[in-house]
Amino acid sequence: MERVPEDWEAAPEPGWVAPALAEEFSGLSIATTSLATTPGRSPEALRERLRELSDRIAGPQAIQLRQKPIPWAYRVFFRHIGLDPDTTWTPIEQLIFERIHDGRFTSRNRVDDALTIATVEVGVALRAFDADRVSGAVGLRLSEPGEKFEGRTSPLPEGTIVIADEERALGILFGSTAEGRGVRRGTRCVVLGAIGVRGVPDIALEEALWVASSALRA
Amino acid sequence: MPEELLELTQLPEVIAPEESLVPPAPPEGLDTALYEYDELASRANLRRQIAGLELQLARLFGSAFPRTGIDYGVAGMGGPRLLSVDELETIRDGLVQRVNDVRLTLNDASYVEQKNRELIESMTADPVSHKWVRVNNADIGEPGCKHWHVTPRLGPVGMLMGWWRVKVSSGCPLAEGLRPPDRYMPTKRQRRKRRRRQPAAQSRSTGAPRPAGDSLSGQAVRRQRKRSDPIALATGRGHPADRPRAPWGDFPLSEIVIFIGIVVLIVGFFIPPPQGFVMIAVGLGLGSLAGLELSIREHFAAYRSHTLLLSAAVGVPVFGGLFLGTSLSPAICVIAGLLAFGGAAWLFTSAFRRRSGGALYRLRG
Repeated sequence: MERVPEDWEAAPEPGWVAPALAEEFSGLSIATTSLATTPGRSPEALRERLRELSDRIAGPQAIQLRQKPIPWAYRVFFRHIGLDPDTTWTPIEQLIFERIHDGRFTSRNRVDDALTIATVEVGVALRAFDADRVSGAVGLRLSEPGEKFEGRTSPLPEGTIVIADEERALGILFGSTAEGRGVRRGTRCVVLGAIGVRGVPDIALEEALWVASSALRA
Repeated sequence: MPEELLELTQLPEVIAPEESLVPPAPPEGLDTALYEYDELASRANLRRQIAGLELQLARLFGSAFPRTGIDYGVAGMGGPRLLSVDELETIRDGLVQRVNDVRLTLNDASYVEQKNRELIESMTADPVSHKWVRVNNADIGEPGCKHWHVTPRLGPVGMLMGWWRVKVSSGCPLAEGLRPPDRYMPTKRQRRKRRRRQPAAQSRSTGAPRPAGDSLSGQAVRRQRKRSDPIALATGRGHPADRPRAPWGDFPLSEIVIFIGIVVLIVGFFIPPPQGFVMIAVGLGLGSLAGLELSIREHFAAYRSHTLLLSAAVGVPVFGGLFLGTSLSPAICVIAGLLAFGGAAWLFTSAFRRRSGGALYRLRG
């Protein structure tokens, strides 16, 4: 496996947004960074961070969450794109709900745990893809008529907002990941994507990527 | 419309209605509000309204806690996709409706809660008029399990005498159910392994409860508890909860007996002998009896040692009985009394040491 140099730092790259989307949603953006890592069992340091995070998050934070600027911005964006944030939870609310329900943030694997830490710390929605299965820059666009989506028998409904590389859709925005494009056993390099919406500053996206990357290096 | 214009079929206003459902555009130069219709701007405007309404709903959600049963949901339109003006309007209207509903619900709840707060005040001011009334924290929109309950003091006696008071509960019951696993708790396999290797040190290494002989002394436990107890620190005495309870519960039997003893004693001073002497003796006896009962209770609960008092309570009657009831010489009576005193002191000290975890005496609880 490629060894990460000691002086490595997350270098977020702005992704592209299709003009039709950019015209409608002025604040919509995506920033990505690549990182060499494997999705194995989380090391003790990462699990310790999850435990500390579990101790910091409790009921009061969950109650006040939707009034905070970044989680509120995601809720608003969910409404704008036709999702009900009380049914399809925003990423941060989903994690907080699981924390309250399970009594802690459950460790899954290195990548998922890193994304959990960054999402809870910063509030930004993050996605991870297998870098070897991504062609070119990652961006956001609307699906085309009859566009196929790996892992789905029927084509995507026209106009669905997707995260895509320069060839195909990698995943539905705030939805499922295309089959074979996500992080899986054997993944050696990961593309982390932070999705920004109106009301979420660019620095928050960079911070989320930095937190996730540093957690992956733990 | 001029006739020549009607012949130009490419103009939208002359297209037959069945061919298009789009309303005809007005002639050029005649800008009307009807046709100056920018969908992009409308959608942006609706999105701003939705954002504001969502914030209002979020604030209502936060302020409504801990009230439950309020519906905050507004159905989505299916996505993620670009929504049309109509769909955005539907969401906006749904949010307006939901915000209004939640506000009305909270207003109603606030009114009821205010009335319940006033009820608590009137209960406190006049408990007799609110017999058995009970108000919970949930009734006043507060979290927790506290409740105010008008109950009679001393049970049936209070009911008969009209001694009603407001009793405030001590809060929620302790948490129950599964707790997250202790991070330092070893697995079953590790425990078996350690038991095989170090059978003697097993309990210390696993953090399991120590055996009774290995435990901290009662005094050390009390000192530890006292250091972390604000009431104990403030008063310099033990926590009231540590004081041993009487077998008859909260009923103030000792206090009543002492009160009767004092009354009999005082009355005895004003009554000529021999009845006066008898009453004084009875009064002293009753007072001593109540004090002795409390001493026994505290001593055997290891709350406070009363070895001298209890030993004297044995030695003095022995001396008095021998001196008054027999013809033995006073010296023998004194020796017998001292022996009884010493033996009792040894027994009471042993009993206190056993119960307190090793302490010989304790002056304060």
